[in-house]
Amino acid sequence: MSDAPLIVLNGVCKSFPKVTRSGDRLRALGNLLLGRQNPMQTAVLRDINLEVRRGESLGLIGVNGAGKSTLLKVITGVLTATSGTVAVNGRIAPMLELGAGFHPEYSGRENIRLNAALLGMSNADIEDRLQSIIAFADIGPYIDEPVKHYSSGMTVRLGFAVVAATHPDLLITDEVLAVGDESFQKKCVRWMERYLADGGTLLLVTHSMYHIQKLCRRACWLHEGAIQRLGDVFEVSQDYLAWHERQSAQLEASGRASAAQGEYAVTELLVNEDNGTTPITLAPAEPLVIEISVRSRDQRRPVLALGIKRVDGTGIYGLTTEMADADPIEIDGELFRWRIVFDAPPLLPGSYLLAVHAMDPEGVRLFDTLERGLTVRGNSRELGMVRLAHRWGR
Amino acid sequence: MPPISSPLATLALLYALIRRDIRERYLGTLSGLLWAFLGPALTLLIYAFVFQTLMKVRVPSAGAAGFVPFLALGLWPWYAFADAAGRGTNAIVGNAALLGKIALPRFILVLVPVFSSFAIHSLGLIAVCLSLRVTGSPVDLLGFGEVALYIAGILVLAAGTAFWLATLNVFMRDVSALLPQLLTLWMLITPIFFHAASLSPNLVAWLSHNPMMVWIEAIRAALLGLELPASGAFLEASVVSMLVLASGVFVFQRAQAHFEDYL
Repeated sequence: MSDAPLIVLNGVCKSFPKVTRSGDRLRALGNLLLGRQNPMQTAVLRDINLEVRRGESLGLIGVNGAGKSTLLKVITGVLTATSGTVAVNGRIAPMLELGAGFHPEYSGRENIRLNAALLGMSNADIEDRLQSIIAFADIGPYIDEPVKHYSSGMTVRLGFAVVAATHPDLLITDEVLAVGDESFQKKCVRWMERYLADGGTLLLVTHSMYHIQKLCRRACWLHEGAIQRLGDVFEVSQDYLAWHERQSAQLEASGRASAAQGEYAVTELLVNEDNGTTPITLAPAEPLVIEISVRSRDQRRPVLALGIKRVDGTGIYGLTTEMADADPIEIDGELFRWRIVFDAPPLLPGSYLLAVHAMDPEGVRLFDTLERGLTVRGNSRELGMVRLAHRWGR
Repeated sequence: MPPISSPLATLALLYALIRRDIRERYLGTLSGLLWAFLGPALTLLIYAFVFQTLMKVRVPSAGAAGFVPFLALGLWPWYAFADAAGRGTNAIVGNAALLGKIALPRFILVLVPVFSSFAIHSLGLIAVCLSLRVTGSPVDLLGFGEVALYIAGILVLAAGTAFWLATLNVFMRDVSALLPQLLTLWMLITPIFFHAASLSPNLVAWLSHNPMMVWIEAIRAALLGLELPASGAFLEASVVSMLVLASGVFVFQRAQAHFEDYL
């Protein structure tokens, strides 16, 4: 064991070469032989700088096509980076596709030997570990049947058992945490937890934030081939989720009511004494003080509605001044000013929207809407949007 | 970097893949490995029938043994070469699915069909020599030590050719389409069905630049007591075979890192 990082990526770029006409392929070979760069077409990875240390598991997140799988392939050596360097100091076990390289005509036992050799085990290692692999896969007499008679679950079990036996320094997996039936899944998770507890390192691609937060300490968010954010798993995954929610909210935002010129209009929205437009950041349970001014043309007292929702629009909590008979401060007849304080908002870490609406005095028609982003920080592993008061009992 | 870094593990993988390759070729046939011998033996019978019985070809310099042993000792080494080069050509393209998922030393994939072809056809050559001996042909079995050396020469040439063609085939799939014709042409200009002595000296001077001609004539010389090629020809064949291997490995090494982009 050394202190050197397990993986160091330095300015890694990956592009796929441009091969549209048949002559391009021949020219490409010529360029490769002469050591020249080929004309490139699509950049899949851009300037990736990444370091993974022993025991410091990393989760890779990003939308489809962000380059996650390409990055894994570059790290495992299946693909070669177009520029930049990749250094790996240890034994990698790729779990990109379990059972890749299995031959359908051969028995499970023969496939174990071959697969283990493909993963870099020597003959002596294979003989030593054959029994434990067979025991781990636990597929009974099927081990001597040709793999073509296996169910897909059995194939994956056998594949997992072989990879588990290689004692890798770095395990690379692409959405294969949950394989097989219930009992085998438990076995896999137990194995994975022991592997991590023993100082193993995991490089995980998944769309499940739950798994990322449970298994990884750091996360890397890839966006269009570049690193958007790299750091603590909670911060990165929350940012990523917030970005997702903003994406879906943007579709609706185009239809946002903008009746600021109407009878009743919100003229000012102060959140914790800040009237900017960028999202307000809150620590968990930090007080939230909101001050709203509404102008009324006919000088009647309007109704104010206020709500907190998730960025995709799902409502969390809402109320109106009418319900509470909240009295505003009147400023020169036209302007009405309210102040509301949430002492300890029970919001879980994530991104939210604060929305205020100006309504007519009858509380029937909506005249104006103003929104402000709200980001709650924290490392809570609780799920959902709000913490419900609770107590455990016996 | 591929996960396989120790030479021992590389050897283990090579061995496992060769075993798989040999088994795969004869899996599902009734007689299994026997086909490695039966196939070429049937071809030998057909050629012998056509050339000796129908066309009444005479090879005056075939030696005391006659046409069939002469032909057999040319045919088996050629099969080893053609099989190795031919299957080596598809070694990378045919394993695209595997290469896309597991990082392994890619050169192994080319060596596997080369070694397995040589293993199979060397056994075939031994079997055919033994059966010729049993049926009374004057095959000198003591010549096998020497023959191993010439087979090694063919192996070097075949591995080099396989590295070249496997690389080219990744970039131009036309290679594998053209291959049967190419190999047939090469077979016909190699003195397998005829003896070089029956051609005009000018032509022989040209054809003897083909290392396969030298290696096959040397094998015949060792086993049938024919005349050994000149030492100059040996030297040239050795140098050419090595050059083909060296350049093939160079081309393959240069291009291999980017195979995946073109597969």
